[in-house]
Amino acid sequence: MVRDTLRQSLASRLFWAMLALSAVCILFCASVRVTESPRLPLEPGEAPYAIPKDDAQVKSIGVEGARSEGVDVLGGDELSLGFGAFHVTTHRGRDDSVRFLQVWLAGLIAGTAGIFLAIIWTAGFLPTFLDPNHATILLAKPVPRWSLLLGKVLGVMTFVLLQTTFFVLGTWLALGISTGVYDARYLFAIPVLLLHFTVFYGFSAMLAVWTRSTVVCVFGTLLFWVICWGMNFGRHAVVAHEPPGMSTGSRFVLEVGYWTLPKPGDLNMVFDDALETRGFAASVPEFETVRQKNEINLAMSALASLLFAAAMFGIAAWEFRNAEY
Amino acid sequence: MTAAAFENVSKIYATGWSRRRGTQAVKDVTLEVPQGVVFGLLGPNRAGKTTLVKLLLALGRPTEGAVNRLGRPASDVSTLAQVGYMHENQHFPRYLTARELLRYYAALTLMKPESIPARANELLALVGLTDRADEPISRFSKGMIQRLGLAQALLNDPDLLVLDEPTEGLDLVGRALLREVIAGRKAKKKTVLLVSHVLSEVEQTCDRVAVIVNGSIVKDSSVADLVRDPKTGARRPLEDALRPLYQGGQP
Repeated sequence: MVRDTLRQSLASRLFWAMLALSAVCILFCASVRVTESPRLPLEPGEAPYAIPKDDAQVKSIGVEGARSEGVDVLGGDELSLGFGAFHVTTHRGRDDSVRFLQVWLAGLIAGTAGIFLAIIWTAGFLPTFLDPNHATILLAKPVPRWSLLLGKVLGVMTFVLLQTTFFVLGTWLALGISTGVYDARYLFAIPVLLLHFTVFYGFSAMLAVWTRSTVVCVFGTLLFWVICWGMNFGRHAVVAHEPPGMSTGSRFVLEVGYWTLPKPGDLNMVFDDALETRGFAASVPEFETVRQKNEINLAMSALASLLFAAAMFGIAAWEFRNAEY
Repeated sequence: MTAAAFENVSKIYATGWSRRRGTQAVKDVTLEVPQGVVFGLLGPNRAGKTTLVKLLLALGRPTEGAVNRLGRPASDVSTLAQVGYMHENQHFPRYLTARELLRYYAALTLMKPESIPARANELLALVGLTDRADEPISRFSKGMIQRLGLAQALLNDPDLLVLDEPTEGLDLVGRALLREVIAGRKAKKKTVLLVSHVLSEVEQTCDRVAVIVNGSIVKDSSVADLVRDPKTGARRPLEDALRPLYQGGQP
């Protein structure tokens, strides 16, 4: 069943579209070059110190003047993209420039566009599989129904894992080859992205078994993602701003909703922590406040989201077991 | 042991959001399909034939009564390893080739892996698809898909072969092939349950038939008895014997 799902994936156009998108990103990474301006030598144990190129002091005494006084000047580095077609001046240096790119690749392209595409792409797999004209032949075989469903779900997840691995590993290697920076933290994106997908695919699987409709699966899952984001943000906003006049009952309902539903915002924070993205990407102020107030437990949050997915898969298996054709 | 047994079986399909309303598809059916015979299940449209087949294959559960398959309750999926099933509107994964499809279903039938390639080749030859074996199913006509459906139903050399409107989409050669297959099953003392509206096929192939009308069995007899005119004793067309039954009268 897993192998069959892999073949089904290979036969879909969206698979090739996603692979092409990954290939474009890998090519983009292969085109990156970072030219670092020379840094002043550091004494053993000395922390690097530098000021921006447009600082008033630098302007008054010049870059060389500042360097002669033992202060490095930032802004002399250059990021070259598209095999030299575009040049961007940066003050980040080689390692941080590469990390900046990695965070955007994993966060925006894979973490947002990739997850959405994967949800849309895989939403039709189960409804097609559960179509009575197809399923009745399968269900007349001596295999328990739950194992058929499990095989299909594992097949989908295996394939998303392969796509994610291709993207992350490909861009990581391409950036490494082109810049010489191999930052292993970037590889954490693979399990974190798979976790994020799994949580919402559980809901999609439940909808598929319940309705056998691809349209309901696609739009239902996307709507559900928005609702979960809203609940996640709403809870953190309330904790951060502590609005006056909010009743204990409302707060309790909010907490129940927050802990029951998957938490895409928190999963993004797990992603940020795993990749150590602080300083490379903006974060939602309410989420940061909750973190500072110590009102969030990311491990429990991720676990609760996974439990929700497990419950959805369980409901789907139960519904499929009892479904009549 | 009977190949299939229905004991006071009723089936009501729940409808509506509340699931409180229902449509009665089968009413108090008691029927036995002996082993080693070709058994025809006949009846007008929406009489309950396919519902009985689905209950037999555990694709649905009876509201009342008990269904046994090959001596075990129908809910016991282990006996499905000795069952083959083909129906009229089969949708197969279009991304598979005919050969891949047979291997896929053979694996799900829990056949020994080493026996699968040879069996797949044998059945592809039987249904005349050897030269198209490695083409994707998306290029197949309805008739070719029906042939492939027949091949998948025969993968495990089933003790009970269930054919629900198998001639749909088959040309003359395909129908002749189907008759040969059914005759072959009978020669091997295997059971065939045939649901069909094509009376000539039924008359040529079946030993016994049951007629279901409005969810109830109104006749269960040998084909020879059914086509014998009760008044004159002369042989009559099967259609003449069935018409009054379908209309709710006596033969």
